[in-house]
Amino acid sequence: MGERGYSVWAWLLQAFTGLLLVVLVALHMVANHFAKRGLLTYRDVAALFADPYWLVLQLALLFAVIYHGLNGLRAVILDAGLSPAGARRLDWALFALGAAMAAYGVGLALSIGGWLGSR
Amino acid sequence: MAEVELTVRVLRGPARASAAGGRYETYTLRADAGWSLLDVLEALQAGPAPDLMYRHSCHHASCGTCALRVDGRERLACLTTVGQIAAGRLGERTGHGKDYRLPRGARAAVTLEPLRSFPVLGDLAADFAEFFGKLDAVEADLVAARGEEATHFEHCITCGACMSACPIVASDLEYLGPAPLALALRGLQDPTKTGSDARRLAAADQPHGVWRCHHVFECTAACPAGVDPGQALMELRARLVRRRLGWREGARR
Amino acid sequence: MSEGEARRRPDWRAWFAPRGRRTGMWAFVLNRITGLLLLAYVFVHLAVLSVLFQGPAGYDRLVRWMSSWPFLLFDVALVAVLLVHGLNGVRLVFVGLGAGSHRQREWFWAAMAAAAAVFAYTTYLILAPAWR
Ligand code: HEM
Ligand code: HEM
Ligand code: SF4
Ligand code: FES
Repeated sequence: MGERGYSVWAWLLQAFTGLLLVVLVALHMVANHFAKRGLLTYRDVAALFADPYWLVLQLALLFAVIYHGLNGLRAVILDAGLSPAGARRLDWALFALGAAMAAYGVGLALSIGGWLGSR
Repeated sequence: MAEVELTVRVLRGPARASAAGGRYETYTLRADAGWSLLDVLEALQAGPAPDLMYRHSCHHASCGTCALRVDGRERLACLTTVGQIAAGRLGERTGHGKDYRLPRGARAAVTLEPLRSFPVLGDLAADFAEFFGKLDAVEADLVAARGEEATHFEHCITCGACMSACPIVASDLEYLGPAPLALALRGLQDPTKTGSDARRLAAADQPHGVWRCHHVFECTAACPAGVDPGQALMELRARLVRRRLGWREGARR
Repeated sequence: MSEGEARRRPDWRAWFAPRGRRTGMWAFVLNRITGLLLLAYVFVHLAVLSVLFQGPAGYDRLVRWMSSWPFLLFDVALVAVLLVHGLNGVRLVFVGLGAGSHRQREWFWAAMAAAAAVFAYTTYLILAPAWR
């Protein structure tokens, strides 16, 4: 537990991703809910994921939400009081979960956007 | 001064790990509106509850031994008056020297519980050993600054009210908590430079240090001495951030 | 710590015990609950998006279903949760570094007022198409 400085970065990144999410989630909601007066169809979604600019924004949202949400969950669980060994196990578990979510989200975006060449 | 018919519900019980597990006993007595809660407890001891345990010493908000929970809020028993309770003005720091214009034959009810997140020695008396251990961990020295402009952190009377008010102190037993972290900052600011700043920074910058704080500010609301531990915590965190980013400690503060 | 004393146990129920407490505690409770709700939503959201792998037929059936009243009301609630957590979160970023922390109570109500204003507008935007 003696890793000094590490907690500073975790907190700063939580604050930074939070501020970033204000913008990214707002754009996401506008594109998915408000731009077309109704929800998007499959074609709309595929077109969005095929647009490289939109893809980057979407993946930024994906990564920001994964870090922010899981680090937030980490804070909640640490608040409950964990042993140093328990905290290390928690970090690994959350890291694995976050990596799986990221892999799934990137795979989904790339394949629906037609970036993998199959469609 | 007006007399009040006061119903007191006291969470009682023998020594135990926390306030939970005790039982409520109810007493009714006639109390002068000018009495403090210490007078009330003394009257209970002299009457229906001779074995009632509670702590006090100075009677004037200096020793920090008499803090307890009054209707769920941390209060110094010596600053809280019967008139204040009857008037429903527990938000005010003290009821002494106030005329609450109570009607004749006023009645009031109040619930007294020991501080939250402290082991209990018995009835209303909290065990401060763990709290004092955390104060030692940050080398909290309460010596007033000589010569230099004094900062207000030495006003802390180590009453434990902020520790009881904080929801995280309740759940993370290792969390240093508001008063120790406020006194860590006080130590860093101490122009007489007693104690080890490196140790204070290390204690503050660990998973059970400032990073457990979630800006609830109940510590600041509970503090009877105007220490404002919540603000101190934020300043301490800002310091750690500036240090990590490599910014020099400027002229600010 | 002295010997022989009873060791207390962690009690997380204190996180959700705002009785007798003040604005900062309510803000904390709200932030914690909304943060965890949003995280749960993201899990479900990502899982549901897997329907995209079924191509247009499967996905567009899902979208028709999700355009029904109960789901639009769910969206309205989701936006409320987002706004409460997000705008209070902006407050926490600044307050958490000591900026404006003396006025944290006022900033909370300012954030909630902003959330209410945006919420009124987005609720209109979400529900208006369903009327046509
Ligand atoms: C009711 C509101 C929402 C709707 C209708 C919606 C709809 C969608 C749709 C259709 C997609 C596919 C890509 C696209 O069209 O951009 C998507 C992707 C995504 N959404 Fe949402 N969304 C909503 C709210 C949210 C919220 C509140 C969050 C985060 C807090 C979120 C996070 C994401 C992420 C991270 C992706 C990307 C997945 C990937 O890259 O594989 N969404 N959403
Ligand atoms: C929209 C912009 C957002 C902002 C500005 C924001 C800001 C913040 C901040 C500053 C914290 C730290 C609170 C603390 O330490 O007490 C936090 C906590 C948290 N956030 Fe967000 N957030 C946003 C969106 C989200 C989203 C979309 C999710 C869902 C994945 C989320 C999940 C969480 C969780 C689970 C916590 C931990 C709650 C706690 O510690 O009580 N946040 N947020
Ligand atoms: S900071 Fe205030 S509430 Fe906390 S122990 Fe010191 S005097 Fe008591
Ligand atoms: S008796 Fe000393 S502070 Fe109350």
